[in-house]
Amino acid sequence: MSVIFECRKLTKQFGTVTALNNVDLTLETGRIVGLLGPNGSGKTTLLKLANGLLKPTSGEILINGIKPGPVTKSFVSYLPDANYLMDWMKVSTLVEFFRDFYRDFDAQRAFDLLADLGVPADAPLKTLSKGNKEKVQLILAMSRRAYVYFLDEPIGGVDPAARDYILGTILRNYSENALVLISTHLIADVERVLDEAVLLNSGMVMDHRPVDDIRETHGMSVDEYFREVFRCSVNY
Amino acid sequence: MAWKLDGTRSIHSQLTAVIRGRIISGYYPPGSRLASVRELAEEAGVNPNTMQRALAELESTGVIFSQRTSGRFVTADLSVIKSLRLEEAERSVRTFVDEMRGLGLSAEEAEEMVRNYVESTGKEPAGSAGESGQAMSACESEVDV
Amino acid sequence: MFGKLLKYELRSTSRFMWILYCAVICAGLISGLTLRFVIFGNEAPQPDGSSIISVEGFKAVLATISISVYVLLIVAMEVLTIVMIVLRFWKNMLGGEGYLMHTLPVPSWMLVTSKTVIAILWELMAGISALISGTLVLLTSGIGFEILKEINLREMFADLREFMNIGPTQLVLLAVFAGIAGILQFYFSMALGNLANKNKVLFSVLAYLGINVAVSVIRGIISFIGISLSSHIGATGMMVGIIGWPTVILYLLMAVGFFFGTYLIMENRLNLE
Repeated sequence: MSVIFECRKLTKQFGTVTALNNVDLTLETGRIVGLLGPNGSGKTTLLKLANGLLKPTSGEILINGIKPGPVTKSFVSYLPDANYLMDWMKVSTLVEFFRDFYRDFDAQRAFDLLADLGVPADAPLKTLSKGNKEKVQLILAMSRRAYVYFLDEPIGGVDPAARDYILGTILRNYSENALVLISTHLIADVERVLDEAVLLNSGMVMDHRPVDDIRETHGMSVDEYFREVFRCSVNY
Repeated sequence: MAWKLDGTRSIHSQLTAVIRGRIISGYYPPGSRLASVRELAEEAGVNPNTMQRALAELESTGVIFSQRTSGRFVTADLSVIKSLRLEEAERSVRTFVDEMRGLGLSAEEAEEMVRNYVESTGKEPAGSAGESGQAMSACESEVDV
Repeated sequence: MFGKLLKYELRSTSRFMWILYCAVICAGLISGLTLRFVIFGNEAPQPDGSSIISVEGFKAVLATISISVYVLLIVAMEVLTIVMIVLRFWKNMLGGEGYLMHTLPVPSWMLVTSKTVIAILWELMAGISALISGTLVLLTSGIGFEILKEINLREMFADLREFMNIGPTQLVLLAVFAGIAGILQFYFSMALGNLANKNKVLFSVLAYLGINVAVSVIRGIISFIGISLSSHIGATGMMVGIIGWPTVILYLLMAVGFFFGTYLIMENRLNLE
């Protein structure tokens, strides 16, 4: 378990809005970490910074000691919260695409997982149901043998069966050499899969502790703890 | 299907309870080999590190033991399992007595209710690991699987 | 990696482009045949050019319409090619697909370059299709031979040098640099427009127009300086707009400038939704 993700006084401002405020964070491999917080807390901004889609206003963010760039992108797998694939492409072409650009992509695994799902490889992505589209996106991200996985709202907007499948796939993919960072506002669904929780609110890290630590210390689930401490409304 | 866990107690302690329950009921027979940490974690729907912690705790109390190359095994020592069973029973007793007290029943009233129930349902307490059905439900009612 | 970017860029865009080019070439055939059989009738056009002049009345109108439609089609193809290039960049680099493209293990400049290269390819293809199509019109209608006799390349180039101060080499270089700069101007405008939080499309358009204005001003200044410095007066005695090397270099600098502008914005100021 070694440090692979580090933020040092990381700040990001958009004009007058401060999305991230002096964030210090250190995460290690072999862990599944939850980046938890309500919408607008800075989760997505943090992930964009980690993937080189934004540059910091001040401070640093380092992946395995390197600033985000083509090098880190080769060992980081990112599942964004967006329709980011070319939906006119066939599923098999998308697999080919990933294989072409990422040396650590395991195409066989991707095809196996797709077959499990009953997704026809020849089908254009846009012909799939929304749930299946999300699963395909997840499969592509998880079929990489990466050192860091950033999953942004992987279970948002899908039915409970799909949720179970997605969380199961994440668990099956666990590796001691990799960090999985799951960003979500659906804390209750994801808690049991996490080692640690990073609680983010208004661009600041409120807490960073093992999940069981929070439960044992406060006698409540992380979800309840978060709601109580930060007095968020029930419906995010 | 993932193991049912409640939100208020630590995950690793709940996992420990489930596995203990399964050993007591004979679902995991004495001396049998346990699945790997990974497989158990997948089955339970929890983080492998958390499952690892639960298993480590069971190891430290001698309920399971590990052999470096072959994996983890349930203890073959029946006396260990028996004392586990007794611990569970004692836990149930304590819970029961506290509950009765909380309801305001006296010891005699509570005892009589117990006797009536035993007689009316005509069941003897399960004594060995072989009768897994009822024992399983008793031990695992604490954590509903 | 660059090759792979090119490969997928090609795959993504060729679906539309081939349709366009086939349409244009077919249009050329149809136009030419229409002219040949409908308008010139059963007589083959005469080599002395008399058949063109003799077309009259209803047939003349028909011929004019036919040719106008054809020219519009060519123009439409050129416009559509540019529209495709612009939309492709917008959707793939600045839309949802941007999350995929900008997290590929390639530097930003490579993304911009791959798009530019394929865009140039399609513009060339558009030009070639237009040429093939036009030639088909001339050949199938029979007019071709008459017109080709009128063309004298040497005279044309001499005139160009005389009136516009531009030789063949400069012309080629200018076409190349202007073509590349044209594409990059679109990309740069879109990158600039995307810096705005709202109304990105509007700002992109404004950026494009703004750049046009700036370029016109600079060209005017170059012409002015050029005319002031040189004592060159055309054969007709007019002061002529200087094209020459300064303009060629201007377009080269524009291409380079727009490229770096686009690259730097992609690298440092990207903000995908």
